[in-house]
Amino acid sequence: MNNGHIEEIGEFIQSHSHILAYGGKTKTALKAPTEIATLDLSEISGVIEYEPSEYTFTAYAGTRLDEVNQMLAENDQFLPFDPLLSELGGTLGGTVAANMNGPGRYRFGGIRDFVLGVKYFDYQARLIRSGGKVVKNAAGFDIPKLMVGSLGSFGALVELSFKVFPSPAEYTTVISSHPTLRSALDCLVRLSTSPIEIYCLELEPGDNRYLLRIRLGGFREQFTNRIERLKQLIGDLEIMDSNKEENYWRKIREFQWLPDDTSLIKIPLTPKLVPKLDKFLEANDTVRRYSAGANIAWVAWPHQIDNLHHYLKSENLAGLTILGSTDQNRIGAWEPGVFYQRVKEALDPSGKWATV
Amino acid sequence: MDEAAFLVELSTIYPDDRLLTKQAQLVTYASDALTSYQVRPLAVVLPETQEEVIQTVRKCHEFKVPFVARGSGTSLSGGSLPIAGGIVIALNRLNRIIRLDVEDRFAVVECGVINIDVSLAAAAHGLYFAPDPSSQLICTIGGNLAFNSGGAHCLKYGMTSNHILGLKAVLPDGEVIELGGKSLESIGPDLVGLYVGSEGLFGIALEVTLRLLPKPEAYRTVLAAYHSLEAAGNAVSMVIAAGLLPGALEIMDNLAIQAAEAAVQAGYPLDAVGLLIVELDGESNVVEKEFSSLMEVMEESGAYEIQIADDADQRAKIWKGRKSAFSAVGRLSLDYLVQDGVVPRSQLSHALSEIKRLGEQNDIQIANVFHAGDGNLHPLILFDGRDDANLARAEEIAGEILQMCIDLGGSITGEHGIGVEKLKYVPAMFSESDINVMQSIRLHIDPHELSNRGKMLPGDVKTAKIH
Repeated sequence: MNNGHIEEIGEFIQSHSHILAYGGKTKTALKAPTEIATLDLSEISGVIEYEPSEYTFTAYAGTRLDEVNQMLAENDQFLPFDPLLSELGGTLGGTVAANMNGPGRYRFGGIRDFVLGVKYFDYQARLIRSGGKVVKNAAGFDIPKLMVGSLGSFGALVELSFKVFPSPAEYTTVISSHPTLRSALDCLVRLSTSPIEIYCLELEPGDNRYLLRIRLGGFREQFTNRIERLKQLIGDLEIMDSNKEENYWRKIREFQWLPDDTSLIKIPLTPKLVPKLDKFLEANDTVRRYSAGANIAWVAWPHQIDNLHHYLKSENLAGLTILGSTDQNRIGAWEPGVFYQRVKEALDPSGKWATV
Repeated sequence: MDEAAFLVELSTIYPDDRLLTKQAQLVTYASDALTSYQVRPLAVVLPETQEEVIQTVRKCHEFKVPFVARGSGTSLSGGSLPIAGGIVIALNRLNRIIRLDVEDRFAVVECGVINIDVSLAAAAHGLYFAPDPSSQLICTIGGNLAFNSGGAHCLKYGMTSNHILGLKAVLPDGEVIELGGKSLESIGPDLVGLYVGSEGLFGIALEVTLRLLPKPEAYRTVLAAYHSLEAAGNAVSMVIAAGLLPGALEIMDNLAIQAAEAAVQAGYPLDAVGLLIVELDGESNVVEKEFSSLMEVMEESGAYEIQIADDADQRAKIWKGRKSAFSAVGRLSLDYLVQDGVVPRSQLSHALSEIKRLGEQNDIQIANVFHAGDGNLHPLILFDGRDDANLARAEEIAGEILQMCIDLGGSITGEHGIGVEKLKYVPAMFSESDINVMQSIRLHIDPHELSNRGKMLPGDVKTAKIH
C-alpha cells in the first residue's frame, strides 16, 4: 500500500479492520504481524510550516529526520532530543511513536518535551487535532504526549508540531576513564548534579574500563576553561580529537556500535539501577551503553529475547526491542494498566490499531 | 442523592473539625482566584492522609456526588471552583516530601506540597524544581500538575508536565493507579503526559515524582525600558534572532509597572511604556559569554534605560515586582479578569496593539504582563464588579482577545487552563471531533463525570455565577 494522499489513507483506514502504520521501517523489530494491514505513511512527507524565529515547525509525520535536521541546521537550530536513525531513513512519526531519544536528550529533554501538537487519523478515519503549534499551550488533554511511545496504538499520525532550540555554536567531547563501574557512576552523579551544562553524558562499559563521554556545547574559546573545571570536579580527562568527535556521535545515533546478530533493546532506568543490570549484562557477554545520564540502557542482546524478558521482569524493569528479527517487542515488567486500557478503549473501541 | 446519608458516611472518615458543612465555613471555599465565580459546596473535607482521600473518592463514587480537589485555590481559570451539591477535597494537609533522591535527581512529594518547598528542600543538594508559577509561594504541586502550570521560565525549561516523571492517583471510581516511574524515559505511551494538565478530570494525584535539576550557578537579569510596547516586543525578537535562549523573557506595560511599583517597590522605571526583563541562567562561563551578546542586542534595541541586577537581592527585587504584578493590579481596580492567550511570538506587537484598541474602544483599562518569550499574553482587564454589566463587558473583551489568539494560530490558554472560565471558547479552538475525542477519554475514565465536573469540557451541570 503506497499512500500518496491523505484522503487515500482515510479510505484505507475505513476499509481495514486491523492496521499498523509505519514510516521509514528503520526500527526493524517494531513490525506488524503478517495478518495485519500495514499503512505506509512515508510519503505523507514534507515540512508544512517553519518559522525559525518562532522556534517551531510543523511537518507531515512521514518527513525524514535528515530532511528536518538539515532544514534546522541551516538556521542554526536543532531538535534537542537528538533524533536517532536519521541517516537510515527514520521519520518524525516513527520517532514519536517509538519514543526514540538520542544522547542529546540529557541536556534539554526528550520528545515528550518538544512535541507541541499532533494531527492524526482516528479509528473512524476522522482527522483529530490536539495540542497546538505555539511553544506554550495548556488547552485540552495533552494527546501529543500520549502519542509518544504509543507505537501506533491510538491512531495514524499525520502532522506533528515541534519546539526547536538554537544549536550550540560548537561541540567538544571529553572522556573520563574508570577502572570500576562504581567509580564511573560516582563520577556520573557528580556531573549530573553539578551546574556544568552537559549536552550528552554517556557511560560505556568496555574492556575492563568504564568510559564516561561528556559532550559540551557552546563557544570554542570557552572550552578550555570549562574542561579545566570538569577536571577539578572529576579528575583526568582525555579530549577527543575535534575531527572525530562529530563522527563518533553520528555513529552512536545510527547504532553503528551494534554487533551483528544482536537485538537492540531500550531499557529505561536510573543511575542507581545500573550496577545490578550491568552485572547481568556483562555475565551474558552483552555489548551495552547507558545514555542520557544513565536514564536509558541500550542493550545489544545476543541471546534469546525471552531470557532478558524474564530477567527484566524479575527486576521490575521494562524494555522495548527496537532492532532485530524478533517479534518480542515489549519485554519485562511493562503491562497495560487500567488507565491505559480505558484510554485505549476510548480512542480505539474497535481495536483497529494494532499493538506491536 | 441522599445528602444527609452521604454526610453521615463522610463523618465515618473525618472528625468534625475536618468535615466542614456550616455555611460560614464553606464560604471560604466558594471560589478560587477567579473570584467572579462562586459556588458554595455541600461540604468541604480536609484529609490528612492519602488513604482518607481514597476513601472519600470511593464514597463520592458510591453516592454519585461530584467532587473538586483543591490545593491553595490559586487557579485563575476557576479550576477549583466547587460544584453545587458536590464536595471540595482540600488537600493542603497532604504536604509531605516523601523522598529526595539526589543521585537519581528526583523528589517524591504529596500533592499538597507547596511548589517552592520542593526547591527549598532540594537546595542543600544544589538541585531545584524548575517550574515557577508566579504563585509558587503558595500554590501546590497537585494544582500545578492538574493544570500543567507554567511560569516565567517555560521557553527554556518547559511547563510542569516536563518535570513530572511519575504519579500515583486515585481515579474517579476509587481505583488507585501508578503511572511513570523515576527514570526520564519510559516504555509504552506517555500516560503521565496525558494525566498532567487534565484539569482534575482524571481523579486526584496523591503522590508525584518530580524531576529535579541542578540549580543554575549564575544568573544575569537585565531590565530594559522602552518608550513603546512595540519596541520592547521587537527587542524580544532581536534576542531570539541572536540565537540566545534566555531562561526568561518578560514584558510589562506601564499600568502593570505602576501597580507593581506601588505594591513592592521593585525599582522599575515608572515612565516606561514597555519594560523588558531578560534573564540568562546556567553555567557561569556560558552565562558571561551570552551576557555580552545580550548586552550588544540590548544596546541596539532602542532601550532608553538599562538596569543590570548586580546581585541576588537585586534579582529577587526585579522578580518580586513581576511575580506580584497580578495581585498588585488589584490595587488599581476592585476586580479584574486575567487572560492567558498565546500567540506566535512574531505576532506579539500586533496582538498588543489590538488589545490596546479593544481597551480604548470600550473605555476599559487593560494592564499587560506577559511571557514574551513564549508569546503568552496576560492582559488584565480591569472592571468594577459591583455592576454585573461591567463583568459582562470585561468578559466580552476577554472573548475577543481569545478569538484573536486563535485567529493568529495560538491558543486560548498558555498555562492557566480552561477551567470554567474559558469553557465557551473551547469550540473555537477545537473541532467537534477533537472535543468528542477528549470527551470520550473523559467518560471512559469517569463515566459519571464526578471528578471536577464542568471544567475543561462542557458538562451537563451548569456552574452558578454569583457576584
